[in-house]
Amino acid sequence: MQKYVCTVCGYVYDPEKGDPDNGVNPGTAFENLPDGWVCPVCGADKSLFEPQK
Amino acid sequence: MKHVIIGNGVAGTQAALAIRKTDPQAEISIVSESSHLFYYRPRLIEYLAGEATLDSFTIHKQDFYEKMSIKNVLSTEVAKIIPGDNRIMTKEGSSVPYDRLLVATGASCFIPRIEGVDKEGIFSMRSVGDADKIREYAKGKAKAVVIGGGLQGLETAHSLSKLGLEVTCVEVAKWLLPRQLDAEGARLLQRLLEEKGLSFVFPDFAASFGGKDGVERVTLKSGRQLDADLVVICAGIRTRSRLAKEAGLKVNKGVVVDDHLQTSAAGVYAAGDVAEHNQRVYGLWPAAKEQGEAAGLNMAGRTTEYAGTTPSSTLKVTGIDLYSAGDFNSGQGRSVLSSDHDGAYRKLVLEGGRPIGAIVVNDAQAMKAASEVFAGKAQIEEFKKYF
Repeated sequence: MQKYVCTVCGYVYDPEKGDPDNGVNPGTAFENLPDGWVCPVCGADKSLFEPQK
Repeated sequence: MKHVIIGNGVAGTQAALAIRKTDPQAEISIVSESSHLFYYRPRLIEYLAGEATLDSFTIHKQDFYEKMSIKNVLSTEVAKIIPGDNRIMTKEGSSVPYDRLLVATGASCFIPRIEGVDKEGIFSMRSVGDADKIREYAKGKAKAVVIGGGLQGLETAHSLSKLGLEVTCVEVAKWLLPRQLDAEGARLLQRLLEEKGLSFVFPDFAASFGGKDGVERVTLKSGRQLDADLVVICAGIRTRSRLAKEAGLKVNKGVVVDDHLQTSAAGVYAAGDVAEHNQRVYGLWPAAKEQGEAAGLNMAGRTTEYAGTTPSSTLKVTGIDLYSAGDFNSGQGRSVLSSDHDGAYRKLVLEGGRPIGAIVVNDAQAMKAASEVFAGKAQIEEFKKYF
């Protein structure tokens, strides 16, 4: 599954790991992250993420 | 409920968002001295090097605050907190009442009292304004000296060298990053940084700054002299707790808070680099973020305990991967494994067969394995295979 990088702080969202601290189960694709999910490191919203090359 | 937050760094901003999430009706104002919107401070160092625009690490644009109904008052200094009266006074003389107040005034750079330290061309590096001043002054200059070889000092030195300056970094300890590295790991890091063009002097420290108007040289304790057209002092931070202290709040190294981020004054909270929780002032982004979140929830009436933050063991310094965890010194009853092939250094300390400490320099894969071993997610062998 495609990983996404936060363009502000460099955090990588890895769908295999999800973001369990914020209620996102492992296996959740970036596109399926809930509305209002933000970067767990800096707080940037989803629009500031880019697919990891 | 009227919430007032002093400071628009990560703690203040996170608190505002936590309040909004909990109480859609709350009135929220953030008052800050800064003239810039909240930004991701760790990237300032790239901004200093001219490699990132401020816009690229400004986390929320102005319309976001409007959407969240958060009043974001920039360029406004707070002169006074009056807890008995539930209000603050700005320097311009306006009085702002609150039901709940958050002190999130952050930290400033510690400037040691060294002879000549007030000369032109001597800077600290903490804000966008500092970076702008340094960049402007650096134009046409050749030599820079950075006082302090900690994380901030090394990053600053690296950025200055990217601006074309010849940089020497002076560190008081026996080797670089003594809290994170042993002598051997530090030697490798030093070599990697020297390959990037930096020079080092240690153990030594600045005794005086000389020059007619602007700084021209640094005289070290050892007697050695370094030519310097520009100096940046990176000697650690101090909490900005003066406002809180003058208001009679309990202040030690920082503004003392309990597990709910509450200060000694009713209705007044503190979070981030200014706060001292369990005798600890963190000065780290993740801790400030967690404290801000917990403070905001408590301010909005949702009781939330803050249990402290475990600092990350993985670091990146000037792009070089570092890992440092636990007790990495040898000792009785301990066995030590280390290897230094392929321009990297790895060390594992075992006690009774159990891993108790590790260091990795410049090996991203080994670093990943080490952090999984220490998080209990992988067997020691996963790390050992990189030795």
